[in-house]
Amino acid sequence: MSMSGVAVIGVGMTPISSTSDKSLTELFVQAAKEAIDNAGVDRVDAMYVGNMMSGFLQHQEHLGPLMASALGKEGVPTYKVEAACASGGVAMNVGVKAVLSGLDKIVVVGAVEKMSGYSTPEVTTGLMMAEDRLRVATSGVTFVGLNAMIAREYMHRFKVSHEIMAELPVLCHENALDNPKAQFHKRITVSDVLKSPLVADPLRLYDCSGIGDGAAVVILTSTEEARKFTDTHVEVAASSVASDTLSLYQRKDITMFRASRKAANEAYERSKLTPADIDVLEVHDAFSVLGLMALEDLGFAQKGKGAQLLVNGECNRDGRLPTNTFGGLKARGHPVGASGMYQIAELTLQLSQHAEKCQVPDPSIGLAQSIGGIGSTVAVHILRRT
Amino acid sequence: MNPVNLSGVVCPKCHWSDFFKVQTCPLCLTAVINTSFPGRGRIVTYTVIRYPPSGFEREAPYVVGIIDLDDGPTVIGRVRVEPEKVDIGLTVHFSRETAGALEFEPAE
Repeated sequence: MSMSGVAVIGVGMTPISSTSDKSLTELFVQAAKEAIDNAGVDRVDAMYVGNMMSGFLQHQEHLGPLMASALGKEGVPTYKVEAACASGGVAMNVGVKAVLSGLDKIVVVGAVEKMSGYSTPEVTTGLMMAEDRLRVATSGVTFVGLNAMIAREYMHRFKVSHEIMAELPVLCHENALDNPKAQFHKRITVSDVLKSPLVADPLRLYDCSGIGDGAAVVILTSTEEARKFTDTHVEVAASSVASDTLSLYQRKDITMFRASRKAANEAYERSKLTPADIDVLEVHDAFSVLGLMALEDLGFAQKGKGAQLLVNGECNRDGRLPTNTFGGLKARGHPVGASGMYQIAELTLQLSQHAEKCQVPDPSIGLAQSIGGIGSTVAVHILRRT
Repeated sequence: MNPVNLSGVVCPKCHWSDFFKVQTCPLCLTAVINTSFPGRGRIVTYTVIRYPPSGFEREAPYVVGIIDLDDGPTVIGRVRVEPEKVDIGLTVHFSRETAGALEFEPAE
């Protein structure tokens, strides 16, 4: 199926903060209004809202009508999309399919998460809902802990030092300095990463994304319709989602994510593109090790060699493969269900040359990878400037 | 001390197995049978939980690992060992199941 029929015509993002006094609804409405104004649309045919934890943390479900009515759009068909930390990426996939169906012309796809204001054990418990409650959460393992077990195995098997793994959070913090909406505006060094407190051995504080609130929204329409609204066209070249076992312990090899490889391969096949065509990349670096695995699973490096791209400077904004150009999950922030939508909004800004201080030179094709749970869901999107 | 046997299920057709009780093999949809596995295995990977979820606050720091049973499936569970004494490859014995969680200790 060709994916040449869907355009992104507007984006909106709230700043990400852990001290926000905005409610879940206020966050979403702020981003949605920005996106609707940005696109210049006056009608909405359907709305998709990605979110992971509103039921558990805010005791609020039924986000579709909640957000639509807060936007003055009551009456439109609404859908909540949940796929753990990939909720935003998967919401995008569903929105793309809605436009491709031809049934909905102007589609609002957004995602929101509010994580601040709760105790660390509460948020930790909420995040573990992405894994198997009865098989795995009973052991007291946390989501960071599962990623730490991956990091331990990855570092052991491929002889990757923590110093080298730390290059990714250092790069993300550097890039986020130029992103006014980023959660962290603080330059860090490899030594800062290695000296930061252990969260779940071997992962330390600066290996991990933080707790933050945010919402990002994009407006989708058909490529024909898009000509009425904008001259710079960013279109969806491919939108793929794949899944794997819910539990990490059930996999033979935990140093790669099969769902990443499957979604990426399908996206390359559908778009007739290859890793060599990608000019700008957004990976799901919720934990440093995941960024290295992403570079491998998405076809940019051999297994165990992902960090080499970072060491060589290829992932810098002036490098061959600019990566996490607004700061990534680590430093832009990771309001879990919303992160996949931030990636789409950021790639759209890059491809339409509106990324301001984060702009990379003249990109025409971008890829975003959004991971749900411990690699149990992965969404891969390829966007293209036309 | 000899390890305690660990109960679980196995698929009679494709030999898929798990410690968690289900009725049907997820790979070939055959009805599984109850079985038990010798509770001896090796740590594949592990972590030390320093920021626990609700309900585990008093226990931290504690070790959780993925354990490859010598004659059974790979499982996940708590390892009752001091954080500085655990390593990849450490031989562990299953000791008991508490509130759905498997518990192991180092083989002496």
